[in-house]
Amino acid sequence: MDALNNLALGFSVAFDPMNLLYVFIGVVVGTAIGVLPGLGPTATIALLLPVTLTLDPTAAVILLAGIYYGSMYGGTITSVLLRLPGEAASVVTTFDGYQMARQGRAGPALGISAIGSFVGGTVSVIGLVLLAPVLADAALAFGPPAFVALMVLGLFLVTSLGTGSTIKALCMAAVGLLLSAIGQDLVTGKPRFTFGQTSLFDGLDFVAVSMGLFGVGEILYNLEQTEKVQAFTSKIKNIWPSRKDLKDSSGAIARGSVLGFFIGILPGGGGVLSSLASYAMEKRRAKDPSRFGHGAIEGVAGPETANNASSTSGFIPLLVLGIPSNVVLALLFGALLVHGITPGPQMMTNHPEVFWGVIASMFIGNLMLLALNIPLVGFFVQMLRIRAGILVTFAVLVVMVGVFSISNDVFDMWVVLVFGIIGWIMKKTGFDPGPLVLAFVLGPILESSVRQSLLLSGGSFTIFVTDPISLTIFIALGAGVILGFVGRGRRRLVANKQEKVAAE
Amino acid sequence: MNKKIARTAGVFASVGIMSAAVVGCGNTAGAQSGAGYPSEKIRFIIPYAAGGPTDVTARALAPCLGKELGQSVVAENVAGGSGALGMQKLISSKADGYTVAIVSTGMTVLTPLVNGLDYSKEDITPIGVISHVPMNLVVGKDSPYKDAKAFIAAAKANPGKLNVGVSGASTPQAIELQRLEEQYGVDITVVPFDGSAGATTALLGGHADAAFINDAPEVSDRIEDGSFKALAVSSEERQKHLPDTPTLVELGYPDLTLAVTTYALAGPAGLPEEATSKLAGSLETCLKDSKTVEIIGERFVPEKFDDAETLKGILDEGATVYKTMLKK
Repeated sequence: MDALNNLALGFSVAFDPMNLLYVFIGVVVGTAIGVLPGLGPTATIALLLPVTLTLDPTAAVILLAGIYYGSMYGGTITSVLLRLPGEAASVVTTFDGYQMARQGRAGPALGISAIGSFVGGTVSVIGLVLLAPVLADAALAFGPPAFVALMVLGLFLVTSLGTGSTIKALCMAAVGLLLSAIGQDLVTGKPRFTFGQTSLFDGLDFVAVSMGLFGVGEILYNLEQTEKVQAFTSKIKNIWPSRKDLKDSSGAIARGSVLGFFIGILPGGGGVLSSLASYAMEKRRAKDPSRFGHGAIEGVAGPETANNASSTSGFIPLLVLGIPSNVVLALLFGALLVHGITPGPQMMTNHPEVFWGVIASMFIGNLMLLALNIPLVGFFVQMLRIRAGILVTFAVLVVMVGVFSISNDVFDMWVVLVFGIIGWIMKKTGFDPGPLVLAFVLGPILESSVRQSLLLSGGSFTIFVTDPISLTIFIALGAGVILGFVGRGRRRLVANKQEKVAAE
Repeated sequence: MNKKIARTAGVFASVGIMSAAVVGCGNTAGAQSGAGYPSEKIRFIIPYAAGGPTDVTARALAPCLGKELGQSVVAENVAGGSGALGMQKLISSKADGYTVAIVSTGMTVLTPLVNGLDYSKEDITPIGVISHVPMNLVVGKDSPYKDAKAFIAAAKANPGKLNVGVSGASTPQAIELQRLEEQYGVDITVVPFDGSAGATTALLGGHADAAFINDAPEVSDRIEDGSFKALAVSSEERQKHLPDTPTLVELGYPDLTLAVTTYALAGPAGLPEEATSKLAGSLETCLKDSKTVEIIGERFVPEKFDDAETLKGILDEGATVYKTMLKK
């Protein structure tokens, strides 16, 4: 009953007309910056942080949180329409989302993402209300060794994605890991592969690399094609997901919600991992996995749902433990501190109106986003009717501005261009940038966790076995790999037999 | 075939145009000096990302400085390279008082040494100290170590067995723990995590034996509610809110006082005297403004204003110690 009383308090705060207005501004701004490639929630929230100093703390956090989850909705749009993933979690959406758009099914892809995001976000808010304190403590059991196991799992999932050959995916993942080694050594602090460039001390920026490889690479590639191939205007079919689409994706959305919620709680952050895991799960469960990468709607619905669910449950470690699990949440942490509220175990008792008000506002915000996004789908799909030359030029312009805004450094714009050329060559030679970019994100977490684990254990590798979570994940992973091989062998055997029978 | 070549040429032409556009985005000129400083807005560089402790401190200060100086003080985050990017931006700007920055001992002295950068404390004009944030050596509530003595005895008995989480590699606090080992034979393993939050997580989850982290509000809250126990503080004198926690000095390590993050206001080297004294005067006034002090943290702001000379002394001491430590 306690939870209900608290939630009632939360809604009474969130339904205050001014707070409602801030939720609305938040989600609108969030959607808008999500749509503009390269302009992410981090830069926007950093920019707006000083403005919110004049608001009361609840309103400030409601507004900033709205921008955060709103941008998760918006990020999908460019991933689907232009193959421009603005954040790591959207990379997975490009696999099938962009293919759907090419087949004239951009509408259903965006529609199902909006619906999935709403369901995922809502499930997560409910989970947050009911389970937050219990789960927050449980999540702490994930120490460095457990993160090593999770990241290894993530890398396995990365290479099983996409449509190309596994060998090519492995190569690209390796390149991604190498690129992630650029920058300061995480343990000694010494610069690595920086060639004296101060801009490289913190490594390459994810947004710049991903915008280059995906977006600019695709644009350059399209420049070489004839007008006919480029245009997908003539093929736009329906705007809404059909009943069949909804039926096909309902399972993916349900699974994605649960998966995303749990992965999001991990104190190291799990946005990428949640969408990856959901994609891999859907591909595995599908009757015909070969559809994936060619416009399977489950491949959009699942990851988008998981992504949104995890971005909401990421508030659990922040609000309950005072641990921000990603950059955006760290900004919110700072915003609360400036207002004299310390996020952490005492927040729920000392500032219940902020704690529950923010949670209730997320529920309202998700509802607003659904109402906002569904009509917008039609509008965004129309964007594809704009002549490619104009659309593409504009996209590149926004990408450049966005990338520059991340750290006000011209260097990042060069990174976009260089990786754009690399992306173009990769596309011509049949290499998929997905595994590269995802491994690039997982790499630093893997490296620092391995080294932290080994420091903790005094250099002994047994820590990966003695840590129960790490052991469990590794056993599950091993079993999965073996089963996969056995399954493939058996299928080949059966196929061979059938061939023989047929030959006879 | 010709068409294909033409299209590929188109690709290169596009790349060329985009490159030209990027080159065009060079730096624009800064502000000029005029009679009667300050006559226009002042740029306030924050060499760390928004939301962190450096940012919170700077943003708390900016509006008050602006009011005192009669010109708006515009805060700008230039994050990257452990503060190096922002420092370089400060140093390369005109020494006219229209560009200042919030600096710390770490980014002024330690970062260039660790990364082999060609700037040093001589490239800035110290203006005055904003705050001193000490570190606390904390353990979890179920820790077997009741006090610092027990912890150090255990570390001496089992060299390298005790793990202490810190907020990052080559931070002043990480070096301080190395000095504890090298000068005093207390052999502990220093594990760098991703920020104070990472170290806190590891301690809460029982993955590290202790953490040596900023005495930030989120940490002192935990000490207050009993989920953390403070074993020692790094400041020269005991902290008011932790009257029973000894300092490292009291514990027999008289020179281990460098693990204190000192935030200060600084300009590029060769700042005109008029600007320096006006900025220092405004800073001193602002550090008495209750609203500003509340956000920065009352206990971090020195009771008596630490002027440019004091600040210079702190930077010099840091430089000497870090130079000898990093040579090893």
